[in-house]
Amino acid sequence: MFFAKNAAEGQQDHILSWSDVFICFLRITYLERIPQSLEYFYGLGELAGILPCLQKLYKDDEEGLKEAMIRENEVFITEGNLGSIVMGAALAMEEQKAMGADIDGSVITNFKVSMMGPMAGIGDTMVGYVIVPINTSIFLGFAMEGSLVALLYMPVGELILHGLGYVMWRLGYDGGRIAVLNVLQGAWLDRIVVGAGIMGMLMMGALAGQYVTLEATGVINIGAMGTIEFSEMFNQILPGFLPLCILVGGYFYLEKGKKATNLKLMGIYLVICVVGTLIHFF
Amino acid sequence: MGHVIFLSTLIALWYWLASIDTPGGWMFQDLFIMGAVIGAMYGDVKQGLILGATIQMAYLGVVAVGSNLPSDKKMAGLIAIPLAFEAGLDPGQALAIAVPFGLLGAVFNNAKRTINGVFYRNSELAIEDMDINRIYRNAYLYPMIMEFFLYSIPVFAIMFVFLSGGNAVAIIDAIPEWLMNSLSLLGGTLPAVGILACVRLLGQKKLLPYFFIGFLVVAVIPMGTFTFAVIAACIAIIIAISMPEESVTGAHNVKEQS
Repeated sequence: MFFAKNAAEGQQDHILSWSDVFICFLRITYLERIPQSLEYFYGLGELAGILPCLQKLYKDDEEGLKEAMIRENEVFITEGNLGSIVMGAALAMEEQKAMGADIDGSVITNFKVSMMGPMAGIGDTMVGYVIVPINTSIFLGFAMEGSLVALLYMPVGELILHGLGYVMWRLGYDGGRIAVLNVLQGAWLDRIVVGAGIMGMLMMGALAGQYVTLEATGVINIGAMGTIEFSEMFNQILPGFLPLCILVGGYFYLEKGKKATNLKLMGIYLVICVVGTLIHFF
Repeated sequence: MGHVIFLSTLIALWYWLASIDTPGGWMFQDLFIMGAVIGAMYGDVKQGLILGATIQMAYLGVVAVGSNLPSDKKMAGLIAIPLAFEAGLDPGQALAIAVPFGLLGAVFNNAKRTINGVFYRNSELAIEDMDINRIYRNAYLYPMIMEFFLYSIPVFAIMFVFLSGGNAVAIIDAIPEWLMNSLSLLGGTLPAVGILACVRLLGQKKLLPYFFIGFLVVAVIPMGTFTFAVIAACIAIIIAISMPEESVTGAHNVKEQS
C-alpha cells in the first residue's frame, strides 16, 4: 500500500528518468554533509544534490529554476538515511510543479519543514540508537579478539543504512506527500520500534556484561577466621556484581541527577577508580 | 625523524578525510580500520584492533542529534592509538587519554560548521546570479579546502609534538604509577558510559529488564557477540510480533518528543 502511487500524481509521466532519481539520491546521501553549517544545516547540501534534477526540470524556465533553487536552499535538517523519504517526496513535488501541476512553492517548503522533525525523530532513534549500536556491538566482539572480520563493520553498516535510505527515497518519490504521512502513521512502525528496542537492550546488556570490567582484589584479614576476598564474595552474590553496580549507579545518576552529563559521569568513575586504587580495594 | 613526519602527516590527512563526511570519509571514520592500519604500521594489527574497539565502545551512544557532535571519536582514536603504541599503554589507559582529545575534536567540528555559514551566504549570492558552478564550488570545493587547513595543521602539530624526541613517552612516564593503574581500571568502566547513553536514548524504560537478561546471560554463559546477536534478534522478533496491539501503540511517537 505504501508503494501505490497517489492516484492524481500517478497519471502523469515523469520528466526525470530512473537514473536521474538514483543519482540524485547518491548525491544527497553522500555529499549533503560537506557544506553543513551551524545556522543553515544541510540546506546547501540538499540544493547541490538536487540541482542537476532541477536544471533538467526547468530547462527553459530561468525564473522557475531560480525560485526552485531558493526553495531547496532553505534550512533543512533531518536524519540522513530514513529521512531521505522527505527529500524524495520533495523531488516528486518539484517534478509535478515543473510539469504544470497546481502546487505553490510554499507548499513544498512547508512540507519539508513540517516533515523533517518527525522523520528525524524516527530516523535518529532507529539508526542512531538501534541499527548502528547493534551493528557496532556485533563487530566489536570480532575486533576485541583481534579478528580482521571487524573490518567488515563499515561496509555492512553502509549497505544496511543506504539500502534502507534508498527504499525510503523511492517510497517518498513514488508516493509523494501521502507516503510520508503513511509511514508516520503506520501501526507497523510501533512494532518495529519496540522490537528494535528489545534487541537493542539485549545487545547493550551483553556488551556491558562482556566489556565493563571492575574487579575487587582487596582482601581483609580477620585473624583466626582466615581472610575475606571481596571478589569471591561479590561473585557469590551475582556474577559481574561490581560492573552492574557502576552501571545501575550511573543510570540513576544520569536519570535523576541535576545537570548530569556523560562527562561528569566519567569524572565520577575516575574518582572511584583513583580512591579504590589508593585504598587497595581494586 | 622521517618516521615522525610520515606518521604525523598520515594522521593529519586521515583526520581531514574522516571529517569531510563523504563515502570515503565514512571508511576513515571507522575506528576498527583506523586501529588495524595504525597497528600494521607498528607491526601489531591485533593490538591495534583491540585499541580501536576499546575506544569505539566508549563512544557507542554518541549520536550527532541535530548534527551536534558531543564528542569526536575520530580525533580520540587517531591521537590515542599511536600514542598507545609509542608509550606501550594498555587499552584502558589509551581510552582514558582519548577522552580529552574527543572533546577537542568537537570544538573543531563546531568551528567548521560556523565557517561553513560563509559558504552558504555565498551560495545565496550565486543563486541571485544564476551561477551554477559557483554553487557547486561553495557546496563542495570550498568547505573541503577550508577543512584541510582547519583540521590537518593543528592535528599535524599535536602529533608532531607528541611523537618527536620521545615526548609522548616522557609525558606518560611522568604520570605516577598509582594514577596509571587507576586509568587502566577506568578504561574498564568507561564503556559503561557509552552503553548507558545508548540505553537511555532507546528511551523505553519498560524494556530495561531485557538489559539485565543480556548482562547476566553473557556473564554466565560465555559466547561470541554475534551468536548472542542472532539469539537476541529471534527473541525480539517473537516478542514484538506477539505483543498486543494496545501495548505497542504510540511507541514511536514517544520518541519524537524526546
